[in-house]
Amino acid sequence: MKVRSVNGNDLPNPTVAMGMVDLVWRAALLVLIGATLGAAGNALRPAGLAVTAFAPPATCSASEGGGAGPAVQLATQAEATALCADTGTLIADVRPAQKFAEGHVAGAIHLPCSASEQVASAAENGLADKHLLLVYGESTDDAFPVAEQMQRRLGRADLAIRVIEGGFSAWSEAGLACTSGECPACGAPEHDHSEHAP
Amino acid sequence: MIATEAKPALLWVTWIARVVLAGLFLYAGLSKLGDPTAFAIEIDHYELLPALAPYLAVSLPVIEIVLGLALLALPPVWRRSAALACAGLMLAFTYAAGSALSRGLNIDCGCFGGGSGPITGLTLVRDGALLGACVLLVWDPAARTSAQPRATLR
Repeated sequence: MKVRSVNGNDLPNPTVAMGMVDLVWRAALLVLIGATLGAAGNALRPAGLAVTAFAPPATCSASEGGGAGPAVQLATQAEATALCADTGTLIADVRPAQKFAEGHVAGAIHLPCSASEQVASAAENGLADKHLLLVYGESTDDAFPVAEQMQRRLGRADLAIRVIEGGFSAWSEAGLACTSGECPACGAPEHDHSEHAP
Repeated sequence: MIATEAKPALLWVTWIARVVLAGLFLYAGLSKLGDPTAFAIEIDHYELLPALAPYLAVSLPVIEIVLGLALLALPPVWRRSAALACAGLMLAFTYAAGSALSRGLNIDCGCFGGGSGPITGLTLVRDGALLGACVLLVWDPAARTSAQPRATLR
């Protein structure tokens, strides 16, 4: 309903304006209730998120643009087999922790997409005297984000970064594994498959 | 003037919009509730408010659940308030998705927990449609008159 003043101009309808104010404060109250319950629920959960200590993953980013180092390239399965025996190579496994624990290339570090800054820094330190970072995932695609982020992060012209084509499953199914085995941290003995290498 | 009579077809449209919106908000909240760390990472990938990512990750899922329940179960004035809050959230979500798309970020939407799929033009269309549903429910003549849809089809 439009309200007109004595000179004929339209005035805001006070009932409608009051109604909107009422809606806004009730909406704010609902949001506040949700936020409070969310914070309280998270604080009570044993596996809740450490809000103040949260650090975003440092090995996988959506940012565009490359670093100073050479672009990430694919390594065929045969190339990877030859490269992984090189002492100047560091191998990184980007698969989830459970997959890593079930079996991985011996000596490989676990560097998943969700790795913290601490893990990424440790990987960076481990690469100090290396000239090749060989990255693998379950397939080709899941290794590239980590490889590209490490390339941007390190920006080293003397460090090549390559992704194993087909990933761990295709590589080991082809019998081309360099050394692979159980997770050392899980207490199982390292299981060497190097005899399968051609 | 506030409507005192709403057309039955309009009542049905708003009722369906309310149930669908409530269902989607409940589903979105519940699917993200289990893994706040993963959701915080998804928010961080948008590169908009990185410092707020963990706070949003613990609060947004429950806010969505509260709004979904309010749309379904609370009295009309609270339903319209919940719809207004939903509209605010959908505006923010649409802006974030549009911003990520325009910056060429190839990131997961994170709208319904892990594996929601990447942000595309369809994400914006969906968010726009949901925003429209929110606006419809704020205006909702049924809620303003407490009218309920009745089966009028013969």
